Amino acid sequence: MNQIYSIGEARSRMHEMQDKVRNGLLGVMVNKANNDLFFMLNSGMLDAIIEELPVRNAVEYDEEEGIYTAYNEIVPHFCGEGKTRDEALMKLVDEAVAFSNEYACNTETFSRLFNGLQQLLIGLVLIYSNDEVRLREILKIV
Amino acid sequence: MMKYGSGRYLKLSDSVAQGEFRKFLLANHFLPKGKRKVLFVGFLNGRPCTVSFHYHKGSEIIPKGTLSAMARQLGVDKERLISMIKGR
Repeated sequence: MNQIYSIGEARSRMHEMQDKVRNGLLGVMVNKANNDLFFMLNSGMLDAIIEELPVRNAVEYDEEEGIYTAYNEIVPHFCGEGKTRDEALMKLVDEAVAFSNEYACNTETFSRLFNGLQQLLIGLVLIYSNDEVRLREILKIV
Repeated sequence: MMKYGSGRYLKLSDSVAQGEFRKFLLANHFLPKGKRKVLFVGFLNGRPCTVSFHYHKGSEIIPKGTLSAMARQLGVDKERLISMIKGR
């Protein structure tokens, strides 16, 4: 069964592709001009990936300054400071959204500086930037 | 630790002020990127990298955890970053 479509085929056979993806098959679009591959997956697959992502947040306390710092170990640019652990983690979520928005505005520069896993996490933060509950799930902040 | 001629040891401060870090970025030709003034892009050890941080006044000390996060963003460990900033 064909799961690989050229860009033109994907355009004309989008419904067929959507049905396959809905039923658990990965959809693949290939740009024949440069061999770039683009994958389509359903929300169940995405949820499973999010659940398995090795996301961890480090929290450090500076006794001299009395400040907690929380940062994400995959994308350490997601970093928050606060007087309590919870405040630092809350600021981490805010900073994740702010940094991901900067990334979206400067993709040509930043896409070269971050690996695939980092890009996936940044992309997920952007998609769910208006849903704090989901963001906390993605960033594994409980 | 630095050893004096008399044999006594002096503990060098590991505290880094925001102004020191900014000077370090400028000395390494990092450039600000984006709308906020807390995101910089440049090269460190021949590797392209980006660093973002919380806004602090120049004389304020950067909390140790934040310094760890910044070091990680720059691809070095915290002690190495402090040495580079302090020019040791």
